[in-house]
Amino acid sequence: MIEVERLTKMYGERIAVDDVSFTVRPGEIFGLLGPNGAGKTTTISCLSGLLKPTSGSIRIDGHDIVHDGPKARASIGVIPQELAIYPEISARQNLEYWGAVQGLSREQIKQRMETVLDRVGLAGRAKEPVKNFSGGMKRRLNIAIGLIHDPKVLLLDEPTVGVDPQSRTHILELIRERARAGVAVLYTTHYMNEAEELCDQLAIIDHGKVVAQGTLEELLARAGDVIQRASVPEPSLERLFIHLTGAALRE
Amino acid sequence: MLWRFIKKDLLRHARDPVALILWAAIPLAVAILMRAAFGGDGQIPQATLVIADQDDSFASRLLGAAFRAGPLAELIHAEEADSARAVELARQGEVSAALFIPRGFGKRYLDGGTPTLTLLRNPSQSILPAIVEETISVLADGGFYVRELFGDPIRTIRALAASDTVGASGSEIATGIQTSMERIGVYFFPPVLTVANMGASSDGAGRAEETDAVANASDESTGILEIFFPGILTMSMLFLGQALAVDIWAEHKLGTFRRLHVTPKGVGGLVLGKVIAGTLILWLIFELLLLLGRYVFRIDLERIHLAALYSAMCGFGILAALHFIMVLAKSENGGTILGTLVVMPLVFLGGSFFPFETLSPTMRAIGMATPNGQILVQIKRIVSGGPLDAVVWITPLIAIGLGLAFTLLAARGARRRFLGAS
Repeated sequence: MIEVERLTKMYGERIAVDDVSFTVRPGEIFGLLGPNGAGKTTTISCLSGLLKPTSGSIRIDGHDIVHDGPKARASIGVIPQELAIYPEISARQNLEYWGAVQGLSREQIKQRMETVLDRVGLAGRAKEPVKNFSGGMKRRLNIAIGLIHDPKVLLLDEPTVGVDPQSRTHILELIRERARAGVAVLYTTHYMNEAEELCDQLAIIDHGKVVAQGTLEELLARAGDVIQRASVPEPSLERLFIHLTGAALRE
Repeated sequence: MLWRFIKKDLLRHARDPVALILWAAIPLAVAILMRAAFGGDGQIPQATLVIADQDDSFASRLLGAAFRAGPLAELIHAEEADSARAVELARQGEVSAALFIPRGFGKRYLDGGTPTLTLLRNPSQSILPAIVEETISVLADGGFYVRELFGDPIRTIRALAASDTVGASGSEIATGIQTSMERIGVYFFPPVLTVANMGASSDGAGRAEETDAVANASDESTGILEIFFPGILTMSMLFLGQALAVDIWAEHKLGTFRRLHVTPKGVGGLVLGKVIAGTLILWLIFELLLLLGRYVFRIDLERIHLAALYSAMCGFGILAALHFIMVLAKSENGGTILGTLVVMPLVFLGGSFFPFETLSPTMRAIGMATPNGQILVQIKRIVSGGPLDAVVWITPLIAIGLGLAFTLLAARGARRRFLGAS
């Protein structure tokens, strides 16, 4: 379970995340949407312990990320936006290393490795150096590393960027499966159709602030009102997103 | 867990060994170039001297003959030419020096006067012309004492000079003088002694009590590669250390440093693992280089393992310090430049490019005060079969202690550098 209460992160005078609160329950997929620079990655960085919040609190599986960091981090599986894998060694060696880093025993690593390799569809090429993999395969390994210790909380930062439709479908199904297994999932994306398809709860963030939050139905109902006022024929999450965050290009 | 960090880096480097091999090959390439630059025969650099004998007397020919036999012939290759050719060779830089023996030299010498010799030095060389000049100066002093001490042979020489022929008795005199010179050669050829002594002594100061051992250790001649060999090891340590240390930036670029930070394990273990993995790689490379040395210089096998272990222990400290230096910079390129700014002066001062034997006392003292200079002196002692006491192990123990401190600093610096405001 993820509990975020009045989270604020400042860089000097600049506010990157402003008084954000939300809860992600076990088995729930929470979508955090926002344009570039809205504060999504900063929020995930605070949740994973990479950044120290300026104020507010974050509890992961009941442990405060600032004051009880190691225990909180042991419950988290982070799947970063950029790949974080060693290309020179094999997928298996990567998983062995990251499993050990997560505190798994040799036996646990062996068991979990077979499961996750199978789940991400890399079992057949697990002994090859990762540098020989395609972009989609590397993405899947990146996810497998985040799952190796069977975390209770998954933080995914745009995990489907730059992957082919097959890999994307595979990744989304994998996330659904983890949610069905009781994992609390926080998911950030730019793809509105992905969010519509996957998420139980959504929050739209802009300039560090949450500007809309609720289930897909609640947001679509709100979009309907907005869209009717704007005389646009069909409500959609994307139209609401553009309406709330503006059409201007972001950096 | 530490072993997992070490294993990961060993596996990564094993999959991409070319870069490390190239770094290790640089010092070998330098040694080969040095060897080629000094004539390629693997021996001490030999000065070339052209002698323009304008006097052509018995005494002037004796002087020329002194360079063609005994230890002087090994040190200086002498050939004769007329004055114009000698000047041309010296100006073209094809010889280390040109010696001009003026007309009347023999007569003035035998008459008890003070003849003058002229030496034209090759300005593009520094050490070899100095050796020639020093040798001629010693010969001139020796000639003075010979004239003062050996009155009878001198008179015979004068008689022979008058007849201007060199017969059997002339040969006997030349042989006798040569024998005497060889007997007192220890006083005549100090450069050879200095090189040999410093090559094997523990502190390079040429301690007198070690002279006998040195003479045994450097039986026939001290090869140029032998002089450079310990320097090659320390150069490898520094170059490889820099190549290995820059890998901490790879962790940042790969995103693995950040990913590690969100796990229950800290990044301190990662940095320590990198330093230990690098140390093990250095150890392996030192063993290989020293085994190569075994076949070239006949180093004792036990001493090889000892020297490799010693180098690796010291390498731990050097590696940790270089990791710390790498994270002081704001980018990988900056780290490489900063590392080079530290490594290259150490290589130049610490006896790798310029062996201590060729440096002035001041520069030698500075060089020996560098960390790699200290290490080099001890490696020399180990590989040359010098005495080993507990003092030898003080340097590696200090290196390990400092290495642990630098590892902590490097981990702290990496956290600050790679994780920013966290």
